[in-house]
Amino acid sequence: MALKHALKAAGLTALAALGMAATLAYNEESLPTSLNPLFAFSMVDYRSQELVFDRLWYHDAITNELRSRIVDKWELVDAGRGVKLTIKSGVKWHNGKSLSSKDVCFTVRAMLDPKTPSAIASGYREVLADCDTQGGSTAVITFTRVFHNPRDRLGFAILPQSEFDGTAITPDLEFSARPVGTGPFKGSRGRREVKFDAFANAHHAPTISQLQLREGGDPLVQVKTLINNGVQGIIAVPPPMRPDLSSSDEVALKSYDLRSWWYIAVNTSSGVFADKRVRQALNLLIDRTALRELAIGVKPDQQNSPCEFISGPFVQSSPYYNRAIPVQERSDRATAEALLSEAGLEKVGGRWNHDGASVDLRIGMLAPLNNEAPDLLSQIGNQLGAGGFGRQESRLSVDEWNRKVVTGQASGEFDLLVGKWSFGLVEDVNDLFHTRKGQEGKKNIFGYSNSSVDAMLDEFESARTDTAAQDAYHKLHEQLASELPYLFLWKLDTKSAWRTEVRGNIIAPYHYFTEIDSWRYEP
Amino acid sequence: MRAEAAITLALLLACGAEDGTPSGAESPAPAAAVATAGPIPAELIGSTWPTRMADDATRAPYEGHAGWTALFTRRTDAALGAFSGGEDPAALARVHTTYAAFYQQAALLAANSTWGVYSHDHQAADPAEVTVLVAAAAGLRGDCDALKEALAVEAPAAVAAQAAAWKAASCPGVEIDPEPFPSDDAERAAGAAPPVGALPHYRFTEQTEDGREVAAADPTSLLLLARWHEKAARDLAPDAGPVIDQLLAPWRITPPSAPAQTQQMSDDWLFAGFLLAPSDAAFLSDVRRAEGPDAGTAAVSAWSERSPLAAAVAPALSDGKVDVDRVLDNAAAVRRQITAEMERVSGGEAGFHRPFADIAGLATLRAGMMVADAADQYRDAGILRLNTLERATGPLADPVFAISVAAWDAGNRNPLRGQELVHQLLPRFPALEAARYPLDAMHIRLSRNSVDRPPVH
Repeated sequence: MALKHALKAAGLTALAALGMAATLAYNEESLPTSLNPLFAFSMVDYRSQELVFDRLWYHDAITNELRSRIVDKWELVDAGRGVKLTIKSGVKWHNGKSLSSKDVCFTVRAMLDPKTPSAIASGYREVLADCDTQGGSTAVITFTRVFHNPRDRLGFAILPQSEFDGTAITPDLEFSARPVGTGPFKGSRGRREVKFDAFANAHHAPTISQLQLREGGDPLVQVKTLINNGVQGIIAVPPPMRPDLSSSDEVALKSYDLRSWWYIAVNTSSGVFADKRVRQALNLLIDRTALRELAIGVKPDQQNSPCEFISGPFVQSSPYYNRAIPVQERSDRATAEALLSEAGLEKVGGRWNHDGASVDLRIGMLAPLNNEAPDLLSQIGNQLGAGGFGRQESRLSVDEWNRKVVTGQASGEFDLLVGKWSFGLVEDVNDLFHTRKGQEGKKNIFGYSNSSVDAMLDEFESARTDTAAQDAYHKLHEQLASELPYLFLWKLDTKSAWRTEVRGNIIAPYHYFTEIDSWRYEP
Repeated sequence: MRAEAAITLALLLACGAEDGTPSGAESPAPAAAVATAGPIPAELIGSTWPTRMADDATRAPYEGHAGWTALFTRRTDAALGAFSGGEDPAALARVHTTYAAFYQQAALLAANSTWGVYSHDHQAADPAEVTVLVAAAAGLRGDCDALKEALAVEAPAAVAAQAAAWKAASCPGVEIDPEPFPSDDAERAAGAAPPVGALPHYRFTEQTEDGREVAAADPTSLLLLARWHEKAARDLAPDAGPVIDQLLAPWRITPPSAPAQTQQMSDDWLFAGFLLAPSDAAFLSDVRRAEGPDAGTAAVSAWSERSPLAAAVAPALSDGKVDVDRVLDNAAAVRRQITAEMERVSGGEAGFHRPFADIAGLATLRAGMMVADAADQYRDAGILRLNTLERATGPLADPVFAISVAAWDAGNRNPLRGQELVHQLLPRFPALEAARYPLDAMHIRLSRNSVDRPPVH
């Protein structure tokens, strides 16, 4: 009875009446950095935000149909340069106020405001021109030009005007920890976990009453906790743990369609690493086959491995992947040593020296990657150590990574950084490799700068046709495989595990929780 | 799928049971006389191949043969080689039938992708010649009006012969002159790859100032490859025409026109497959033939006393609709029932029971999906389709089903999962490269029509 009263008090009358209230706990790679959908730094952020907010339009996770939960009707206006939309009635914000057209236009204007330092918003600035309200439920969004399938460009989450003082939105606002959305859950970030409480609404009917996001630690402990029903799900199960879970009748592995690839970024502005030959030597000292076996548990001859090597900044199944560029599967120490000698390094007592000093590598890694690939950092260090380099290894927290690495502030502290990037349908890598300048190269970790690479990235950006875009990225792949600002490692499939009592748990590509309303817990 | 059990069976099939005792058997118990309870009625459970194959003598011909091991592990390419000696023409005919089904769906994948990129999202800069690819896509998708519309414009000289062939082709149910299309029967006969002619088939020119070259492949070539395999199967097993028809019915672009009858089928057509008994082939053929929202469920009613899969799906129907959760539950129940029945027949547990039962469970899911498709429950069928794909690993990873999911996704203008599937299947089906051209083109076009989301960690 107490639970029923509590649910009623929270406005979950429908859930309480049906007696379907349930709490699910799940392990994430880390806690989210921000619950504000303008400031996603990681896939954890995107997944969490999907629970709290509604995107104007989204793709059905099964049929890929373009749908909206908050738009009642729409039409093209201004000869196709705008979309006039009418908001569904009865949709409430988590603060109890009604969703209106003003909120839609507020969101558009917030994204267009140059004082909103959001990488997500900057993508929309190239597309959106303005937004005007016509009464409380109608908004007209205009585009910078006529687009084919314009609704495909309206996939942003809607923000509540009432929660902000103006359209300049920054990531440090309280809203990032205690957001107000119209999504199926009201989120609240604590120090150790994030709670998402179901919010009954005209357009959402979640049957899970609460979701608890916890930071996953040691993979073995995570798996045991799942099997013992201490948590009901794990978002990313490391490959070595998958056979154990796959053999359990109480747990089901679920594919999560996400394009992620792993890399070692090289500090091209630091000492000897500015020399391409040194980077090429490092690339040859890495034995990816051994590394993959030791950290991910993939045998050298394993068929359909979840982990596939790459030679450039795309997964092998991507149309942008240049299949003419071979992957470096094994180390080649002899060629590496020749390159290092050519670059002026000298081997003294088994250690590489330059200008009379030992060359030591300061290697960092995004800490949560250790859960997916245990001991990867040590194994990389061991291989480079065996190749004749001293090394210092350290793991960086998600916060440090976002604050220092992604913003390009880690050049003074690290020579190599191990990370991964995740993509959806769009595989634009311009932010990663373009010279940092204005809006370009926003995620260029070590400030890599190469005029011919920039030219290829610009060629992709300005490509008028698909073929021109593909050609530009094929050339880029070839160039980067030679230039090596990154040592490209592999793509790694992501598999989740959920207890079989969790039913109807459709996992949407990339966004994950898009269909959370259909999830049920039936112990 | 449990990898360990799969490996056990693969070894069992490769080596044979040394003393006739099933691998992993525990102390044999006398077989009970009564069949095990479950969704499949007692009178049908004994007709399923997993339960019959639980008997050592019945299973013996399939053990220790490289061809059957390859078929069990879904290495269709290896099975083709292993059965090519000619000692078992029915088995080789089955392999060719599998290839025919695979390339039918590969043709649909290419057609759906071609339609997505050059029709749905057509751009003025697209080469003029793509109209003939759009026509081919329409024909392969069974859209005869769109086929006529695409051919109403005079085709450029470079593809005039292909356009003429499509003008003369039957629609629906493509019968087309193969002459103008890239292919190489001699290479196919020799087992060389890729047997769809040199790729890319065409190098068109964009209608831009740059005039960039666009590499393209003709989806028709995949259909012709499917036809070639179908003919090979019929030549090898001339008396099995109706069987081949029923096996191909779920995968053909056009549904069968006549009601199905249960055919005599040897275990060569069934072993390790997703039809549990000959009547299942007839049942699914009728499901595919179904017209109208009630027809799929009517086929279930008509066959539920004769077909194990129809019986397994029947309890999942509610008010003329397929209940997704019940199909999932029934698939698990079939798996348990088949396991128990195999134990009853074997007289105890054996290593091969689990993969056999897993195949039966997945067969139930697939049947439920096909009935949902026939009942116009597009999204529900999609949920079952993806649940099936999720479970399809190891010996459950049927390439025909996988490529059919890629084709379905492409029809939904979703290229990503299809690209992964194609990438995984290409080493075994090199001709699939022909489907990759339009699939990749569709991906690039869709991504360029979306707002960029910056990469995140």
